[in-house]
Amino acid sequence: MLRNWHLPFVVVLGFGLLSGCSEPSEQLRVGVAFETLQTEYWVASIEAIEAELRRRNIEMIEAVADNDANRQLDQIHILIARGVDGIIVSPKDSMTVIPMIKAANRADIPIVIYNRPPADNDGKSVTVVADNYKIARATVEYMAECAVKTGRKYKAMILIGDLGDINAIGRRDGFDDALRPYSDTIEVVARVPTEWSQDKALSGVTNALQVNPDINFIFASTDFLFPPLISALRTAGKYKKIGEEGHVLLGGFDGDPLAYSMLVEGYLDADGVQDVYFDSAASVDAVVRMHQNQIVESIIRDPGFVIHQDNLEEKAGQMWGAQIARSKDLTRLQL
Amino acid sequence: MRLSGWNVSNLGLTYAPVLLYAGVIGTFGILSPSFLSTENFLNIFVQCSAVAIVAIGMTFVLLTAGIDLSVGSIMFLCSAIAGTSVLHGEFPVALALLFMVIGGLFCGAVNGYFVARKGMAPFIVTLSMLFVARGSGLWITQTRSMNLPDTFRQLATTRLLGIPVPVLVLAVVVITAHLILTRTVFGRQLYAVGNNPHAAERAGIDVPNTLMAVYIISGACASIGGMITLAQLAAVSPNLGQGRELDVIAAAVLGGASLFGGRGTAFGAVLGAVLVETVRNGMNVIDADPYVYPVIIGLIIFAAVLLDSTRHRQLAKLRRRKIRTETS
Amino acid sequence: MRGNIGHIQLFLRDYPVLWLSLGLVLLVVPIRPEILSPLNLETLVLAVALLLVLSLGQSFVLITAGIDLSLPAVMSLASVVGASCLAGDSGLTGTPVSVFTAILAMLLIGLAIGFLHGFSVAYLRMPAFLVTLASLLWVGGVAVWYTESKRIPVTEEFIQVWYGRLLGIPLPVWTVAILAVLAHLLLSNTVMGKRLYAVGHGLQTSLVSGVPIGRTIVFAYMASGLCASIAAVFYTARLHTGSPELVENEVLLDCIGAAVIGGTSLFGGKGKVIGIVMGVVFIALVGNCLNMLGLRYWHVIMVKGGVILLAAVLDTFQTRWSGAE
Repeated sequence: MLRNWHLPFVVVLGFGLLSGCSEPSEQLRVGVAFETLQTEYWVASIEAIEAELRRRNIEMIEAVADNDANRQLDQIHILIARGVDGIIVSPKDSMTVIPMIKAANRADIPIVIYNRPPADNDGKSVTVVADNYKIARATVEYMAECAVKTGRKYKAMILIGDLGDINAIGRRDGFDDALRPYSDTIEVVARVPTEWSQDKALSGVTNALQVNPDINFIFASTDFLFPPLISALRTAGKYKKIGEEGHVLLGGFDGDPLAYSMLVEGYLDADGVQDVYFDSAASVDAVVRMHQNQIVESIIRDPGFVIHQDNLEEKAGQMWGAQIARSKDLTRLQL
Repeated sequence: MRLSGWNVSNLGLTYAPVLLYAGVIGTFGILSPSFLSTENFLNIFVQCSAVAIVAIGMTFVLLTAGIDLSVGSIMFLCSAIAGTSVLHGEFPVALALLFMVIGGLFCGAVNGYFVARKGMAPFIVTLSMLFVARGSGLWITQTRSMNLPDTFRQLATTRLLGIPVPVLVLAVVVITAHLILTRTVFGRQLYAVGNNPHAAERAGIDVPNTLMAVYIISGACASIGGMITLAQLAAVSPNLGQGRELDVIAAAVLGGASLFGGRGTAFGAVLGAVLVETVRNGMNVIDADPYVYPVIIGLIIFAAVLLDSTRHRQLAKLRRRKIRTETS
Repeated sequence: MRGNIGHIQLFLRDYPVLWLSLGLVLLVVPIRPEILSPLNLETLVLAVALLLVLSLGQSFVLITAGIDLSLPAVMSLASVVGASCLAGDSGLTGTPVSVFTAILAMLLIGLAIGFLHGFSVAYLRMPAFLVTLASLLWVGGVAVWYTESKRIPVTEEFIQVWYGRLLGIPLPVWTVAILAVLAHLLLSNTVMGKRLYAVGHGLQTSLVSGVPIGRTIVFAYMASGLCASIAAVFYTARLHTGSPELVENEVLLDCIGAAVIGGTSLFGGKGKVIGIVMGVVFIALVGNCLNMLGLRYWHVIMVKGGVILLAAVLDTFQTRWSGAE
């Protein structure tokens, strides 16, 4: 009987010894804690950060929290326990990141907040963030100008992100404020809550198009929702190129590869771009400089930009999605 | 006289779920007439077809007092396999769909093996499958979204005799499942296993094989549900199917299945899925405040369950009373 | 002495998950010795405390053959209500009294929703799964609606509920330890404990033996609601935030999974606090180890699934061995 329950013990111990010991290296190590990898934007971000760290010969330790703020705080504590030299965190929201900042401060480890700015706090951190409100507003303003030029009346729809995400709120507010001066030409008839989910977006858009078949102005709070949006538009026979009869003015946010191919093919009018390469390089740079005890400004702003049909050639080089799309076979991205 | 009174209230109680559907549909219809169009009803069926199909598979599992938490992850894994084989392997779409079914059958068989042959708790087995399948899918896709060729979307939007393909698939699945449950030995054995596995064993039913079969069926239904979702979205995103297990179990249970086994029908599962989707669609059509959605859906599920349990209690009471008057 | 050793042997045999936890640590220590650092052990203990509160509450319901899916929603609503109590202009802001009222309000929410569930399940004969699933939707919805999904900051005093220490040990560890002991005593030594198991074993038999089924079931759901709101107090203080999205629904899988791994049955009538503690330690340890190892995201998820399966496989072996003897 004794032998019986010694068996698992021996097996496990053997495994433990086999997996060997790794000696600590002198290389710098940076913990990268992401709240989610659910959209192309986050994946591109973490890959850009990894590439930048590799370029500087820094080891990356990855932790993904699957949307759970509490788990993310645990992960930060574990990174601290592992003795990393710096932390880059993309938090769930502006408040739950505060205890993470405090924990890092207590351990005297530099911490950089990626993409979602923390609320006021007395901790020490550096934030790298795109201005969601401004970029969304500029994108929708460009679309509104296009609409005015045609001299027709427009019915608008917005695909809202997760209402708990400050960036979703920023983009929604940008949309609302951009359209306010145009209220006599553009009427907002549908607000589809998507919770950043493709299936919810698909059913929401399908229903909205059913009720308001004359919707002809659509802003998606993230490019991630384009596949279901296109699917619904095609089904309704409304997915037309710019200049074709029945084209729906389309705008998006993020700057992902699909958005780029839609711009090139002439389906998409405008896209708000967060500059992933700038954000990731700035984050890594900030973490390294803080590690060397240099002074770093507490907010690094990614100005972002709007890419549209008129500046496509000029801006495509800065659009992260364009880089990814060009590095792959473009035809595979077409829908 | 008293008899006919009893009949009327009995009738009302028997058809209480129908009255609830009528109430929901009527309310939305008054608020927005376009809700009542045939096109919109087809829409509701199209939109809930994936959940409904997976819920039918889930009903088989629930009948044996089991549970399958892994369906959402299986949907995702199968979609990831199909997406990769089409985009990177240059396989034809038909073959990719076949891979999906094989994937679903395989995951279901693994679940079934541990539950049926090893006698392990279905909750834990399928919970680990939930993680393993999701992790494998994320590994295959490297958490990237995949945008698929338009052939996929055409699968979902093509119509035969004016009915969209997803609804036809749903119809085929539900009718097959209904026939299996009501007309075959296997179906009757399922109810027996769910009601009392020991008695079933003594009665000569091969309980392990029956259990094995239901998890395989559930896996297959999950892969078909994945197929429909995939065709509708023409894309694979890393959170495809995430949290779907709750929607699916809810649909099955709303449709009359019990977590304790022995109760449930294929058509019930479809009705459960349709009810939830009707409410979501209705609120969408009347352009309700997005913040209110979950509150209303939650309350309507609560009302549906309350109505159902009241009906059961009242019917039982009425029957008792009737028996008493007859015997006395 | 001999009796003691016999006890320990029995104990280890009853809970193979303990072996697995030990094995996991031995596996990880050579690769990441930091796992045994005081800093990480504290992280681990606090993770255990958080999950244990939820699992204890859940197991009361599981023992009666019910299930409570509403925990994440109850936590969210309690969190936002508690945080708005703190932020209110009652003139109490910043005083210990405001912390007290906030916590009281949070606990009352848990109890009230628990009562609603217990009543619906016991007296209206509604299936627990759907009743609590409906609450998961509507209670969570109310929390989001109420705040319009804004986050609410909490005061420095309130944060001490989590970050404060007594005799060098964090307050939540004390609280949860006391709760666990109380739960253990309640389940093993009181009439209510016996009734909970009786109800779980079968409604019919307990009806015959004179157990007040209704009150027992209501008690179980209220205990579960109470535990959820205690967890909400901890989460809110720990994250410095009153938020309608305090926690993901996945926490349900963790807390039910921990209870089941620890020997609680989903069909009622089975479950002990000791086992639940070990299930919780196991789940928390798996999370901790996987993060320590710093594997890729997808590997973390896959390994988590694999390890849970392993725990269950070991459990069946154990049952077979003890059956063979």
